[in-house]
Amino acid sequence: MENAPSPRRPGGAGTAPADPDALLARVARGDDAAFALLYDAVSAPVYGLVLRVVRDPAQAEEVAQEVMVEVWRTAARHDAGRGGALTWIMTLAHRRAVDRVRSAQAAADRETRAHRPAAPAFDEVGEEVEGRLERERVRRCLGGLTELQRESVTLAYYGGHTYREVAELLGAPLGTVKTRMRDGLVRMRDCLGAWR
Amino acid sequence: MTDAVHGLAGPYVLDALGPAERRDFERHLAGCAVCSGEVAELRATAARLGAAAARPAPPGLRARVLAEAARTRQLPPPLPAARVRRLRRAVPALAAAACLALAAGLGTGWYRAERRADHAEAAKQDMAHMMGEMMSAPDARTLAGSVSTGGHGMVVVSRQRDSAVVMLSGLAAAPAGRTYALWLTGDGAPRPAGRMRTTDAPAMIHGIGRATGVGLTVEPMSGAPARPTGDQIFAARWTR
Ligand SMILES: [Zn+2]
Repeated sequence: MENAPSPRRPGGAGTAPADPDALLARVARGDDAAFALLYDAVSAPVYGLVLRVVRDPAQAEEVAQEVMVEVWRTAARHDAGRGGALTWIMTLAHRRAVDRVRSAQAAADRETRAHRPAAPAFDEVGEEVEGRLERERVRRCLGGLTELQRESVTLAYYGGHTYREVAELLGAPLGTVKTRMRDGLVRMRDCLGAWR
Repeated sequence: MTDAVHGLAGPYVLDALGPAERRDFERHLAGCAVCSGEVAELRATAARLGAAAARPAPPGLRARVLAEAARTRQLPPPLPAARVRRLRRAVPALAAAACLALAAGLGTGWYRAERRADHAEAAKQDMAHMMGEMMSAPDARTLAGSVSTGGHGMVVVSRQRDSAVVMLSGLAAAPAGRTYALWLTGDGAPRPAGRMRTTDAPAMIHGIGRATGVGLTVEPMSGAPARPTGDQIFAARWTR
């Protein structure tokens, strides 16, 4: 097997695998074909997360668009040594979504949101085969948390609440909620194991 | 900087801090290797919570995103000078030591043993000082991972300081007659790098030499094998 490496294969448009890390590295060099592939690889997680946090499909679409354009714009600033591409993109998406629900325009309906019971973390979604195992795994691991850990993590992450709001909603002391958020995440991490 | 600031990694990765607290914590992160290591790791977990909410984006979004990207100028890569400065992070040793002393407030158990005994207070200060020195090294790197038998570990390594610090949390005390053992790996056969009954306190390893990793095993208390005999339950690797 002494074949010379085919010049068409590595990184060639069209044949590239949907590996967000490799794609993001190409996007950082201005490769717009790679950006289209990256969009295909991450738009569902980005849109789904944003929708869960902001709840309104029209706003979710706007925020998801901002996030993806931000990924394009700042790709060269992503430091691969500090975490994977998908983690970085999901971090941007969550931050944007949360900032949107906390912005002044949303202040009014926020008032009602704060008194709504926590939405179940997983519902309705028309499940695709892809991502389903991961969804199952996350659901199972959330089930392994204590109730206070689970509520603290999900009210903050999916509900977009600050830890002060979470403490109020749960009637728990601030310090306890902060701690439950951290140890809930630690337990999730240990339960989930390696990604991919 | 207060205890409260130090314990905010959980709320921070969940974006559950108010704007002022977020800013303060980000400032703190720049100088605290413990918190920034923790944030990096918990962020990956939070991202998985996010990915579990995936659902197909509306069909029109793709074309709009690609069109907007096409007319959006990309930021250039960071300037080399900025990169160097950031890598160096210019952490004054004292600030890092203070940060570590605050880690006591985290309640992860890393420092619990020392806190229990007053007479160990001085030893703890020494350790905090040494670790502060290490973490202020320009090439300090933080690696983290799970312990296969439960719990997790974090390693800060600096080749310039020729040292590594291993912090383990969530591990039970070693079974009777046995002890945890650390090994330096990646440079020939594993070399012994310290033994401990409990993992409450961070372990400082001096003289890492050309090693490229640290491993943890459980070994018999007596006999002190010169080579690992147990399974490796935690490993961290770095490049030389
Ligand atoms: Zn800290």
